[in-house]
Amino acid sequence: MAKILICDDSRTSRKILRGILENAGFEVVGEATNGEEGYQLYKELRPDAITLDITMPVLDGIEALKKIMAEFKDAKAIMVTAAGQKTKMVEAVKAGASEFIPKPFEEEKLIEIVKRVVQ
Amino acid sequence: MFTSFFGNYLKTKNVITQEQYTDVKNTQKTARVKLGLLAVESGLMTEKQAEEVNTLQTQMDKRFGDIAIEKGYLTDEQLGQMLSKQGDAYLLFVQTVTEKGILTSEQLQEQIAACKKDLQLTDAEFEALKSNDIDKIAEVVLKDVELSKVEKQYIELSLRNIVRFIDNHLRVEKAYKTSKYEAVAIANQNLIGNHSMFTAFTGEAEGVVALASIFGKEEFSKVDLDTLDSVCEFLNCNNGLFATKLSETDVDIDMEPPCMYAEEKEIVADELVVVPIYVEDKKVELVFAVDKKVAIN
Ligand SMILES: [Mg+2]
Repeated sequence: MAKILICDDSRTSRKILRGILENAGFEVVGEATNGEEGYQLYKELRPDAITLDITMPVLDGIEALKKIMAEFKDAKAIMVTAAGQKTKMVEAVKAGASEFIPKPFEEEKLIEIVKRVVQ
Repeated sequence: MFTSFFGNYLKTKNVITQEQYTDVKNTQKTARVKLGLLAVESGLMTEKQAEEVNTLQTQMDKRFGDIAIEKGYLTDEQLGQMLSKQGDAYLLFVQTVTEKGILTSEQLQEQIAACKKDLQLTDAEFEALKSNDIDKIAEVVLKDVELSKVEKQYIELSLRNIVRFIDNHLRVEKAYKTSKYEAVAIANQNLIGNHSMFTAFTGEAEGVVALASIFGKEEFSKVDLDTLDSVCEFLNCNNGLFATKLSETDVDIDMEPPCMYAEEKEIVADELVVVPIYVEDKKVELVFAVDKKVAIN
């Protein structure tokens, strides 16, 4: 069972995301509410993948991604994006993001993407 | 949308009761417009012909459309067009209200005339409201307020997204401008870039709770930070789609993390645009400003 860490400042999104992932048989090992917390928890928990929301306080998803990738070259990060974040997406690809999942979440699509990443 | 708009008008005029309004709304969810009514309303058949076909239908096991074609009242093509209109919101409303004996069709026509007069709507504008087309409805509610292109785009896109993600029966009232808005709570997100924008959802507590519950797929009961978080996530998605729209014309904007205020606040700016929207008949308001200084006190 793949271990996933969720990093999102929105409680609503974390809850929906956790529900979808657990339903699909993934193990959600932790929840972080900003990029800095996400980085710290990643170090501590070493999950198979981390979902990173882009718009977050303290440290946004892109900065957190860079920090994680610098230390863990094989890290698998799935960026969670609202529409309209194309520039940020390009930046995330350059920084080593594995995949993207769009908000609002579409269950089937999301599961397919996460499965592909942790395979 | 037509039922929310016109049904609510009839309710405020005490022409129908709250119970009747709810009943009509619920009935409509599963009802289809009968072909007889459609044929008469679109001028393809006379009322007498429709009655004749209805009577024949009771005597033979055939569908309305088949009999009407046999009789030469309708062509195949006309029937096809009518079948595609069976979900028509306006006609469904007429059918439900008359069949339930709430109003006769004459009384309904009188009320429509009164509504146009009261709300100063032209025939074309009333037709737009009948259409269930959110873009056309937006045109009607925005006609009396002077808006910049970006402001107009933002409202149109937000309404489309509320229809898409929250409630496709929403009702919108006329947008207006103000310099001060007293809020019970605020779900806010600021946008930066080529435009700096203040965007927020507020309104009545019940409306904020309704929006949050639908988007968050969770039953919220009062306005607190969890409820506002859900509203903020919807606002974030909405603003993301707006950013995409603007990027088509090389305008770049970026979203900041949202801010939530779970207590009474005053929004003050040189100019705020307010759009009253009813989600499940509860009021939420879209409040925003483009390139204006905004303070929350
Ligand atoms: Mg976020």
